[in-house]
Amino acid sequence: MKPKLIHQQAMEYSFKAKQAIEEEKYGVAFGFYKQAAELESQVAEFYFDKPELEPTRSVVVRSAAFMNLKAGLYEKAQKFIFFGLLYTKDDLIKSQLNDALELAVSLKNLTPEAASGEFNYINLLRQRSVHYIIEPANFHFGHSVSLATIRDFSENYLKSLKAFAKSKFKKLLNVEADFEEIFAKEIDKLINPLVTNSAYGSFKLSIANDFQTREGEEKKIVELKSNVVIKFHNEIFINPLSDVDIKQIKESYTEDEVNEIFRPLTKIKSNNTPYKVGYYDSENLNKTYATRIINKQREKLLSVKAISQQDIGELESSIIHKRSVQGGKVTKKTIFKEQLRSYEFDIKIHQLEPKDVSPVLLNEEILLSIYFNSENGFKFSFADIPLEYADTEYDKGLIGFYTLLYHKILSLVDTKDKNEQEFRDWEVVKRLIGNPNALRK
Amino acid sequence: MDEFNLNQTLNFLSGPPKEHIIVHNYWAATAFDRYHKDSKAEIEFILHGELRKAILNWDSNFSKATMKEDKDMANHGGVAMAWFVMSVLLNYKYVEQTEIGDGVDYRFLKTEPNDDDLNFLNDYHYVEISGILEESRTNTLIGRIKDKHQQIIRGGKRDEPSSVIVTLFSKPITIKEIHK
Repeated sequence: MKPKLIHQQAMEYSFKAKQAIEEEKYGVAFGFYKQAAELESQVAEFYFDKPELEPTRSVVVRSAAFMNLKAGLYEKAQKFIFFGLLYTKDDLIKSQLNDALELAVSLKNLTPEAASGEFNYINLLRQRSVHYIIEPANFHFGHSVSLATIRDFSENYLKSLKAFAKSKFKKLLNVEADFEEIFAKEIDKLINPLVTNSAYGSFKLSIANDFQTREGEEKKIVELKSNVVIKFHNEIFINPLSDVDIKQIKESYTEDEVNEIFRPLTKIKSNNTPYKVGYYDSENLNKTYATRIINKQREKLLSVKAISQQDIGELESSIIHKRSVQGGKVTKKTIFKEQLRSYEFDIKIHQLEPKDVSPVLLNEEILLSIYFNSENGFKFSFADIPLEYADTEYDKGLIGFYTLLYHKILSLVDTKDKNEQEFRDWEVVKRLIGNPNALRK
Repeated sequence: MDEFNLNQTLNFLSGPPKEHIIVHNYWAATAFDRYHKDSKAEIEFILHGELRKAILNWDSNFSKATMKEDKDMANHGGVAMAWFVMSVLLNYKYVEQTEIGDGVDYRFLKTEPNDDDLNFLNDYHYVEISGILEESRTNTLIGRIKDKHQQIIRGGKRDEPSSVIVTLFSKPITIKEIHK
């Protein structure tokens, strides 16, 4: 046997398979990968009883494991994975085989063709992925994050990403106002990032959007949807929001678009968010934490609209049974009707007006976020200091929040040994109030 | 100034089939064509710290229908340039590829092992290869070279003969640094 020549032939088939994938000919790719896997398996098996032929043995066994996975032959792949994990001394190969094992297990119940397609699809998605880590801001439950945290991150991330994609697609396709509603529904279908990897500790996840040409999709749409997560990450998510950046953003997007894109991000990245988001550079795997969006940036970036009761609006969802009876007459019966009310807005304030105390002037205007829903009423918060106050009445809620913030400031004045969070809050207070210590006098 | 053609790799390098080398050269040509006219450019090669300027020609007469992804252009084009540097400029006659999860890794040898050599992946020079179409605030040539050295360290190959080769197509420049 001449393993070098057989291995070369296997690599040739593998190359042809990759070319077929680039041309989106997945059935052809599967055929080539099967041939490649067959040959590489022969070579790897030849080395099983030849421990003296390292490093060739370990490298070829790894190659056979991945070739079989790419061909959807997970059982055969497992054979090489287990052999490699038992006998190779190379740490890198061991770690790659561990990844391969995870994938082999997940493909177990699929047919070889489906498994091959799945493996190659996930591989290509992973190459386009952005890698995030979500960590709790305080370690009350160790490094574990709650489902609610993951939900909060994914909801706001998705809202922001979809708003970004909507703006990009609108520019690309010159969508007319009449078609905006239909267009928004299409965006919902097109922009649906997939989780391509996840791991505990804290919570790591990689995400990418679909890249395949689906029926009826133009080339420019496919190009944009394939890269939308990376573009969003680079242009929006990690944007440091300097004054120059904010100016550029406001020149590139309409006022509504800026609000739709960045308002959800301010929730993920504000000082009072109960978690931190980091991301990994795909080349060097260095972890960087996303910078917080402070109130001053928020004020420059987002527009504040005066609202009325009408703006709060009313959402109604109904389930109606429609039935055609003889003579073409249609009868309707409402089975379920629910009214939902919610709204989110900001107000600018330049002084605190706590209960039973003189007003406190601030050095700069700040934005208070107000979230209204029909169950809990008004919830007031300030992005730079983690405080929330809720009341069913707006005016009472506002005074309640002023009072809460005022007492928080007094408590910070009194705290000599400040922890990390208190120190951050104190820095904000010093920026807002010239001499906070004077409040005690 | 020396003048080269990217297709010279075909005469100097064995291991991959000729068709394979040609396809990678097409990717590199597609990347070069984005920034340079008439299928030629003055290129800087910085090999082990020494600058060598040359004129590089390439073939642009092929269908670019499937050469659409920027990421593939940078990656495959980067491989074509690394193959050119290692074989035409540095006299490595043979490259062996093996399969890994998301692609292929590359090991170069000065001479091709015999067909009946059973330990044919021994005594190789391992190369981490990369390509960048154009630099950005977060993606620079110097940064990428540093990252590739880090990858060699993380991959446990810090004590084996290894190099990094990174090409920036917009300038154009190819840098090869020996890791060890």
